[in-house]
Amino acid sequence: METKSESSEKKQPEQSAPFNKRRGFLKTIGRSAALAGLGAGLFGLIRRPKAAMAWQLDPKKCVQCGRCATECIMEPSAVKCVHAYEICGYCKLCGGYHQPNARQLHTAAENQLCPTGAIVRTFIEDPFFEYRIDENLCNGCGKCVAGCGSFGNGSLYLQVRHNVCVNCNECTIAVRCPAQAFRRVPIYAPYIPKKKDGEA
Amino acid sequence: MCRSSLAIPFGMFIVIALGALSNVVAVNRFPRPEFQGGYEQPPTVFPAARPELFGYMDIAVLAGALCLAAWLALKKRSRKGVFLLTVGAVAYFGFFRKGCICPVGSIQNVSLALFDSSFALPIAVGLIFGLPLVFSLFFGRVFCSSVCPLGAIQDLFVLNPVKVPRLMSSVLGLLPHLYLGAAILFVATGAGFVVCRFDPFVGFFRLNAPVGMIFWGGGLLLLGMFVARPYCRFLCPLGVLLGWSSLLSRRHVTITPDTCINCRLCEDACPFDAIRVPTDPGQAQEPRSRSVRRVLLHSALLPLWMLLGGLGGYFAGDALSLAHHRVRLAERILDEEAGGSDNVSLESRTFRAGTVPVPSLVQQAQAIRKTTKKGSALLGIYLGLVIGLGILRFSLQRKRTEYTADTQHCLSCGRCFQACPQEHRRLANISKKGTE
Amino acid sequence: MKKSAPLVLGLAVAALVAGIGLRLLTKQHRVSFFPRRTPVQCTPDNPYEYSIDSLTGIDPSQVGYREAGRIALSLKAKPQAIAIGDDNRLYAAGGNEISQLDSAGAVLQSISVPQEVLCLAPGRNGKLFAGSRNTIMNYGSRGKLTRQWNIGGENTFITSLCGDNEHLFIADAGMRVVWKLDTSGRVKGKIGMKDTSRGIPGFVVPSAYMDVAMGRDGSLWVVNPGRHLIENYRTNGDRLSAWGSSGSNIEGFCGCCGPIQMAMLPNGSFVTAEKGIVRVKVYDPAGRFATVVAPHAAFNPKESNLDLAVDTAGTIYVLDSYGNQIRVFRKKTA
Repeated sequence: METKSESSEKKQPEQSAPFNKRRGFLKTIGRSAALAGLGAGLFGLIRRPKAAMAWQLDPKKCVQCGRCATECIMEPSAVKCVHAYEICGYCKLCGGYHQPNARQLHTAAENQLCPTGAIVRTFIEDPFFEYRIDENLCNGCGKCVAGCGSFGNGSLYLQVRHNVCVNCNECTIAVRCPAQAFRRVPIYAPYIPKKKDGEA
Repeated sequence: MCRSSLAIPFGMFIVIALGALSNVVAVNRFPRPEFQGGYEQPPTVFPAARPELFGYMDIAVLAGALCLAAWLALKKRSRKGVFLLTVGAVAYFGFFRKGCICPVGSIQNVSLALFDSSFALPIAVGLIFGLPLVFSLFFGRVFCSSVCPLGAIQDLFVLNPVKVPRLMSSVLGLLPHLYLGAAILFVATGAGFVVCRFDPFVGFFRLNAPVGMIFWGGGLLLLGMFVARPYCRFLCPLGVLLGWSSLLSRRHVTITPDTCINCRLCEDACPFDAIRVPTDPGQAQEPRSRSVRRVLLHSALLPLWMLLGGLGGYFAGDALSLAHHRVRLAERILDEEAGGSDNVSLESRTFRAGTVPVPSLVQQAQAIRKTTKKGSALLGIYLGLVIGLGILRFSLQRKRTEYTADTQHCLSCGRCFQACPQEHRRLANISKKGTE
Repeated sequence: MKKSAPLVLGLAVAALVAGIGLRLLTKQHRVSFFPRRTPVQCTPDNPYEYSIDSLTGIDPSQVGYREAGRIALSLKAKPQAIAIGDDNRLYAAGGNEISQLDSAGAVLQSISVPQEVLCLAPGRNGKLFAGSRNTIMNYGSRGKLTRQWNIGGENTFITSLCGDNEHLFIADAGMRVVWKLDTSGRVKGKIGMKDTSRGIPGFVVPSAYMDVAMGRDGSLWVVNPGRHLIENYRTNGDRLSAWGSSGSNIEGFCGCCGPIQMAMLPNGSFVTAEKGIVRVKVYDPAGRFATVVAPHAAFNPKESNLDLAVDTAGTIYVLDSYGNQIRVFRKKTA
């Protein structure tokens, strides 16, 4: 039996040559059709400017249910609180910083809403205080968002942070969000920020 | 494509001036406090995602890995090479890229783009879907051999494979078709990405998984020690598509580099039972009329299978529609209103606090249910067709004179090479040539 | 088919280490082998629930008013303001429309306004003043626009207005000042600007809520929402007094800005409305808490606009913008 060198060319099996030729021809037809179909189909589906593969949550729909902190596959969550400074009132009694029944308005932990102490309160001038989010500590639970929204101006809101988010094909938080606030957005504009409007 | 915090060194930080981003339109109306002391308001920072360039780099790696896999399996015929590439795939596509987006899941993205005109398929995802299929059309299932991270991790756990009885294998072989159809159905109705939800191995790659996923994936890996690559053979939806395209492949892995001498040494060489043995020429031939009658009978039964499948699918549609969150919510709210449950769930509470009235939710749920039932009927018809064709295939007699790899099911892993004496001769020739 | 198990395991571990090593090298931390999904104390649904339920409870004996009726509104936009004229005419405004209603809620006349109405104030003889963001509009008793003037500057945001016979006082929340206008619309002065020499601390207005009302003695009462105070000014700008305290307790004003609305009862008592803990309360003329008109449970918790109006009999009208209606409260007798 002839042996060939390193090549892996295969001799044809013991079937009639015309049968194999026909088989090969049909396969070629099938292959070409499959390639054409695949190419045309994918080409038709790809619309680059609208392509959206990043996840983001709509702050207008968010109900601060706390699932952003528990459902994300990242630990701590890729959802973090963001502060829209232009909306903030810089209040001494911050609805998002302080417990609603805080006895004293300072930075003691028992007065704070945030379970991880991620909000940094800095005095600016009377009577204004600046509130800044430390993203390394924030776990996206939304308590400050709930407080700020109901008692304050609503300048704190949750957003998926894309330096942390790994962009799963299906976001586990999106599946469990009771307000269905998550949607896909383009990767080049992956945020839905809150801006000021006339209503507080 | 997966984003990593490589964005920290490489990504750009977009500082937002008012009105810079496209998504929100509201105008600045209420002015902020006047600060006397010269306080400057800090900007709200929005870190950018991983640059898209990295996504294309991943595609390049995928294409390169596929080329390498094809070369190793078909040209070089090196099981060792395939194995090393497998390890590399687990490391790169698995633990480094965290196994997402994978070509198996990309089926859903493509389906979503088909059914939802508002969703545009990104080029990268299209390529992730298309590249394994294109390579399969030319070289067989080289993607499965050593590139797919799910397959690769299972492949590393193949310890002492047993042969699965043919009948069980055929019945279990229906599951990938069911999974593929269900995945497309759930995407079409908007229920979500079911393949992602039941991905057994992504939790290991991310090093973070819910308990259920650990048991599911771990169980499959442990099972995989004895039933080689259970997910690939009996669950993978992409395997259906790859199997079909592999049937049309131009070139395919062959067990022997030369002519088959029917020495039978490779019979037990495949852990995945993908080697087709030659038919016994000495066996008494069935009278042609009988075999023709049998083929005709099973062909005639095809519509019956399809009908049964369609009916079964239609009636299963009610249960399947519960995968959609709207349907589940409607059921929950109606249940609560009828006094069926003690407490109000967070979803129903949130819904009731919103602006959509319950009747329109119920209407929407009913519409989804109807669509799901139509879809599941189609799925049932398809499954019936698959079952009927499977039975038909059993009754067809194919003459085989030598040992070949089943073009549909062979995963191009190369384990069978070393069982073939022709292969040993080839390697001896190579080393002889080397020493000359 | 057998593979050398140690080799396989070794290579699997190598792949694991390589992958994790690459990830750690490229600073992809946040690896957790034991994901913590349930924090220490939690409700089944939301482990991070923000609940003010403990603060909204009320002792029924503290509620001194009962709901006497509801007037449904049929404005096209969300209602923003209500007012009651000296002849007990009821006005409701929202969007670009002002409706005059009778006590049953039937629309007597509907006035179309060129700009979005944010506040209303009744004038003499059935006249009506409407305020939009930086414009005051004066309507005659038949609904004809008689005068219109812009006031303030770029940051002006008018939230409330009131007047006596000679002047009109406009609360500008954006510029944190009260404008004093004469009857022809000329700016006569600014009240409330920060002036330590006169003992005026200045208004702290975190958001678009700032209410003004005329007192019985001709002085001006202005809400200073950021400081939770209701301040009393003479019409020449002298600050007379202030009362109010912060807190979620029943006597205080909750949240960062409060009260969001204020009105005067005929006997000089104050009616106040707050958001967050949505409640309407009455304080006596000295600023001491008197009674609750309507507690949190009576409203949609997201309610943030509870414009108040009082008629000559002391009946309190509360705008329920979420319910698109006006709620009428009368004092409980005995």
